[in-house]
Amino acid sequence: MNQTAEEKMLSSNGQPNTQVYQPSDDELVTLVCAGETAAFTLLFERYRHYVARLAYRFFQRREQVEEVIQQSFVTAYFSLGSFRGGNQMSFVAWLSRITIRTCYDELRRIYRRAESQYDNLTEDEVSRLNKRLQDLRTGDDVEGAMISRDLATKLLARLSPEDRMVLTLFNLENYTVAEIAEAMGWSVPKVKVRASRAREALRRVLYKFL
Amino acid sequence: MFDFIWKQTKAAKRQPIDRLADELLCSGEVSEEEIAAAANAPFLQRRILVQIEEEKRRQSEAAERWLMVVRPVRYAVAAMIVIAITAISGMVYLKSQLSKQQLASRKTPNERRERVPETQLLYGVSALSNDEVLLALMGWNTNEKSRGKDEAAK
Repeated sequence: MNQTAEEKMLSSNGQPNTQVYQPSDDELVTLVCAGETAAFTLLFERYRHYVARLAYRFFQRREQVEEVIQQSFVTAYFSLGSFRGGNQMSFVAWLSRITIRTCYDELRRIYRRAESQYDNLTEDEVSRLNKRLQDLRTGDDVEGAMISRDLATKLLARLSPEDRMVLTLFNLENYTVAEIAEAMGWSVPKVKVRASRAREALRRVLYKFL
Repeated sequence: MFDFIWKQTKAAKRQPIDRLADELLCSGEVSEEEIAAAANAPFLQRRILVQIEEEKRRQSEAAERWLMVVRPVRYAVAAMIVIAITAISGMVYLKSQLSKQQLASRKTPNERRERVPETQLLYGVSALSNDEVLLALMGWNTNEKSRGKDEAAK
């Protein structure tokens, strides 16, 4: 007897049956579009860690990350009609694009709201930053002596959201220029210029405290 | 040469700062436990489903509100659409007619005159020599010359 993806996915009591059959992302998207909420639950189960990891690249506080996860999945749900799937784009690539844009929107919101929040570093933070640079200058590669996350957050918050996006995607996520351009909806030359300026802006921020 | 040295010096100065910048960027990396904690947050899935339902309700309410406005005047809207279509088609028809008329009125008198074959134009005209044509153009006529001579003799 030929079972449809929906029948395979749900057990006899109507609960998601993840043990027996793993439908593809495209099948799940088709089911969600047909009004099957359980399929969306499966998609969420599958990719929530991925979205959380991506969100943690831009935000340090857990509640912010949860907010991004929530907003990303809600946006994805209402945009499923535009997902083409197949050979055009995988679901994970499509979802990561949505997550990146959600992070970008959130960064812009925070940047507008609290631009002066991180005006000054404490003396302790400045001395720690200087010490870290001294360690680099003497060539000591001290493991575990990373600059604290708070300090990093404070310094990175001084960059514009565009600069942060480009730096993070390029340096941490190892995106190519073309991939960044596609994810952000920018042109390739704009990404190149922005990457160069972002690097320079980060240097300026560091020079200011060293 | 000087430019090259200047660039090298600048790059050497930048190196520690760039390394620090890289460390700064990497310091944001979090452990798998933290990622799992955020991803498995209690009620996260519930919150998402609630927000989706809320959004759906909001969208349907917005559509409903629009329909509520349109429903009492639906016949009037239909009638207006019919009138608008009729008016637009009438305008298009009139415009095409008008442009045809304008095209006809713009023709030069020569274009408006019926074309007559050249053979018909020359019908009944005796053949003229080149000299006669030239003389005619100059206002001379052999007959006039002789008439002038006769008058002088008188």
